[in-house]
Amino acid sequence: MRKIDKVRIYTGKKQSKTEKKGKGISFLCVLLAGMFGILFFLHGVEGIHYTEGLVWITVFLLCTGNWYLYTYRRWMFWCFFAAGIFFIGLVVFLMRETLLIQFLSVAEVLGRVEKTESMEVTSLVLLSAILFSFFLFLFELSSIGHELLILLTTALLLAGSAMGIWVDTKTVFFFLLFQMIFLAIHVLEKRKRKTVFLWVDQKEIADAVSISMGVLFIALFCLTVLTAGAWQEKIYDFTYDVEGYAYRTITNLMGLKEKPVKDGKISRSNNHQMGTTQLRIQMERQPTESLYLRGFSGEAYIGGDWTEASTMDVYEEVADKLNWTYWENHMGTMYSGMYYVINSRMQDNLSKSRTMTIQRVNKMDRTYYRPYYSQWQTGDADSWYDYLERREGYTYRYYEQKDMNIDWRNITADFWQTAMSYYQLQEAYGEVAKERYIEVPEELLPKLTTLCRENEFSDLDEISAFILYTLHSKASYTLTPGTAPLGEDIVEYFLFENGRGYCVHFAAAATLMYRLYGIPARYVSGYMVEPTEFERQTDGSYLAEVTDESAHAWVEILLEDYGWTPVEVTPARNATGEYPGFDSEEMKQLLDLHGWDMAVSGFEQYTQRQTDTEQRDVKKQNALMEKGNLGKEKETGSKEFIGFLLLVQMLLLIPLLLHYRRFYKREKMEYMGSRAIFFQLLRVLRLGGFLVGYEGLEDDFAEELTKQIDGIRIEEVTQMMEIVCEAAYGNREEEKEEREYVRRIYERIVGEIYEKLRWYQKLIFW
Amino acid sequence: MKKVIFLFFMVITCYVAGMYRSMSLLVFALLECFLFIAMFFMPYYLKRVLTVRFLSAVDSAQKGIAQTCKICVRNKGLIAAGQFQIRMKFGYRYSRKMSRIKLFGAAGGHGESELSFQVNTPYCGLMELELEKIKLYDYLSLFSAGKRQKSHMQLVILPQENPLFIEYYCPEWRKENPYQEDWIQTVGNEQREIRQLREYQQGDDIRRIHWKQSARMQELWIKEYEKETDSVTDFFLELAKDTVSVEEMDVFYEVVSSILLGLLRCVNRVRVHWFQKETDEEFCMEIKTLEEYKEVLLQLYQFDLMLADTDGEKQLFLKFREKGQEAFCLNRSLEWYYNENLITIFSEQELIQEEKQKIYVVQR
Repeated sequence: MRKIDKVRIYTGKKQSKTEKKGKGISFLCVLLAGMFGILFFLHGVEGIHYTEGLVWITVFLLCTGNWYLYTYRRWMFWCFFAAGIFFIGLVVFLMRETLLIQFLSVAEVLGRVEKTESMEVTSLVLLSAILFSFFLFLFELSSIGHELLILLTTALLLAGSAMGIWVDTKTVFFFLLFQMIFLAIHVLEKRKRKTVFLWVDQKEIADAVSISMGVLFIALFCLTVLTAGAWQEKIYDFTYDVEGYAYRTITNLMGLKEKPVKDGKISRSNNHQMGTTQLRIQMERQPTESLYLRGFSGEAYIGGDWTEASTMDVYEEVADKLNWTYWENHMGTMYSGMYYVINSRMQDNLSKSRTMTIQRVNKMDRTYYRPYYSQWQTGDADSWYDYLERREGYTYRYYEQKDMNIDWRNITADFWQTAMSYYQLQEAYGEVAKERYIEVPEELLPKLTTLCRENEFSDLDEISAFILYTLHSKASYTLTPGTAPLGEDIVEYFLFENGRGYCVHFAAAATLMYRLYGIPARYVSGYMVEPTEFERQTDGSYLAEVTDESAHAWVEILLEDYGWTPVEVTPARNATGEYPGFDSEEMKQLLDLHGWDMAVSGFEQYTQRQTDTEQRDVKKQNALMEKGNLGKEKETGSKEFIGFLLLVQMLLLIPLLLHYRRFYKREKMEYMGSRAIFFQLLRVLRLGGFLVGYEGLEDDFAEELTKQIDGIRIEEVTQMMEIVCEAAYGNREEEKEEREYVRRIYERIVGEIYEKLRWYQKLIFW
Repeated sequence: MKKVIFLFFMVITCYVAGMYRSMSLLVFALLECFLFIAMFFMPYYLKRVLTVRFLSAVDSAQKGIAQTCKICVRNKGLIAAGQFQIRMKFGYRYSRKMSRIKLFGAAGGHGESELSFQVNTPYCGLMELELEKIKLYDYLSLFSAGKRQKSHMQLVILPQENPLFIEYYCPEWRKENPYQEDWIQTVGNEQREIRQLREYQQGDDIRRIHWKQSARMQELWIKEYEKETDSVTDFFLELAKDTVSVEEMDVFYEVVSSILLGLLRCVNRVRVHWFQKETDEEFCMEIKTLEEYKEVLLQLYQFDLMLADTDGEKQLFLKFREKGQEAFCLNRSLEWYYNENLITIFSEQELIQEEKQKIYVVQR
């Protein structure tokens, strides 16, 4: 039976032949870009110190050597690779202890377990770079590993930012160049495996695509840098808007909107508000001052979190100091309502006191929010909890700050004994507070501590003015300050690097600064309700629906005859730093006296954002230099050195490029027709200064050529010319043997000419 | 999917850039975004500047030998075309279904390049190759844009040259003189002169052995005859048949080729005839050389068998015979006649063996 065959279309045999040719120069360039990206990334890691010149040169030579051997001496490449791996293994074995110490040092730096001094880790970095050079080369050869490398390099950039490693634009440029061009090259190769690929010179196409992609990439990079510079803030804001939208949508979908808003955690990311009602406050009269409802008071600061103030411990200590052990259980009730009671008794009327009832709307939130200078009211209920059960809310009577007027000299006789007890309680509490509420973990806040130490003040007003000035000049208010990197203290990052934050950051920083100056202060979170938020009801009362947008954080300081008093330091809440006895006028005088200009950033938070952010990069770089052990001068020197190295490497690359060009052209010549080879011969002759003016058609061309070029016979030249003429004007296609013959003659002539050329001519000759 | 992954990376990078307010990451994300946009437009740009076509409209190949076909790609643009996909339709004429294949290629910037692929040729006949559409991809293979790109190529697949051994036999002569060596005549109806003697070679017909000379020289010698000075014969092809298939036509063409080559060994000229229903006329072409032999096969391949007409063919042959002229005739059932006498019916299965071994003696 005749075999029934199917028509098939397939790639010619030339494909596999081409594959063995090795990789084009574009491969080397992109490989170097990838390795340079890694080295630039490493350069940005603070606390890692190594001999950069040595590493850069090694990486350059290794990559170039690998490429050269793979392209021109394939078998030597594999020997070199095996020897390299053996060498690394041997060095690791011999230097295992040193390398282990260096590795742990790097791990500590990256993990930020604790602040460590930078260590010389040249051996580790050098070995890692060598190993990585080999494996990067292998990965890119295989073309299947590139996706993994894209993932790794992108993850490195993202993780670097998250870990506070300074990733500069150079790193990004090289990484993205590496990612995209290799992706383009590999896409080309991958198609071929699955489908019928028309025969094409892969190396040539890879080079052409790399050049096109490279040019496009550089043009787009310039455009990107310009765009990013001009629209940076707008893009960030857009990102935050999208994040906020996503947050709100997910929160709503997941039913998380009832989550309580108060806690002692200093947020490390953006603040997206839901606008949902949390509390309902009813008052008899409309307040005239901002109403601060305290929900959480922070005691100890532990790296971004405040622990809740343990009031029971404080009252126990106070009771011990006063030897009021009998009253120990009532101490809290006494102290919490003390200032309201004293003020009401001293003024001898309750006309200025106000009543407020707070109802919970968010049932998840079981916190009791309490106004300052207040006393809870149970009415006719037997207990507070009984009252809550019945009313689903709680009532306070309180005085506004302006109505507080405690004068110990004006005490009525019937209140004398009680007043003296309160006075003793205030004194004792003040002493305990001075011990408990001035603690600062200085090791976590080296910069803030240094700042306060360098600006010594003893007067509370001066301290307050300085704190307000520092906060407002160093940071601007925004609900979307971004995310703080891991390992960075949020307060230090907010104040010294990011320069952007919202109430929790301002309040936390102010609290810590007060404490560093020895002023008892607590971080407080809760709600701040403006008088304008209250609306008159039909029954004459005033009602405010308090949403999570009113959630706020502030600092409270302990003042005599006021107790804990809120101090507003957040720019968005019209921060004036005022407290009883220190008004805005006095603040202004102090600011003028010290020449502290708060006009920047703080009060102009929204309009100045861009300027701040532009300064941020500079700030961050400066911070990096301050932190690093290399110092500013060394850092600058290092950059120059790297630049010099790059230049040297480029110069070294030139002869290699020229050699590659020669190799490439010769390779291309294998596919050239005899006419093209002959034209090339004429060009080469002119370059060498032989037979200038000859067109190749002259009768005496062969004769003259043999006269000037040794080792070639006139018959050979004549035959070559006949083949070329036949190819040009004949009616048949030239034979392969004829083409080969012309090529062989060409190579012999070129070999002779090359020997006679000067060194600089040899560089450009092929 | 690639687009989704790319966008995912872009969004994640942009998000992290925003969160950590990192200018460099923002550049990274924006650059990815711009690249994404550039990649979107790239195929449309390449679509405008890239054209593909077959390098030649007609090419010939020999059956069983893979043929390299070339596609010419012209890129008027500056940037290289990283990859493109050509959808091509191909198949033999009369095959039930044309096959389609997607070929991938690439081309450098600004210039013409030739891309090649190979096609196997299991049957002789006319293979049609048609470029239908070109789809251009960006460098990252995220987007593509296609355009119709019509280019047609005919690959004339000629049978391998296996001429039949055709000899003319006069039975009376043999009866009278069985040892007469020159009893074989060729189709030209006349005895021919011996042109030369040569040494015996494997496969030579033993009837051509020059016994006298062989006896003298102690080795076998073969006679080679002169061709008739202007001998000519006619060869009619009856192309009508109810069914048609590539395999069947392959056999038919091979037989036609073998007969033609065989006849050309015997005579100087062969006139090939068939009836064309379209014009209601006969097609007639005289062949003398191999080039003309190829040309007549091409004409035969190009003839639409669906238009073949049995009655027309019969009438054509009868008219010819009425004039007293002698002719060979081959029909699609592979019945080979000399005038009205059946010489042989070619066996489809054993065709190759037949062609090589058998000698067809034409009895006048």
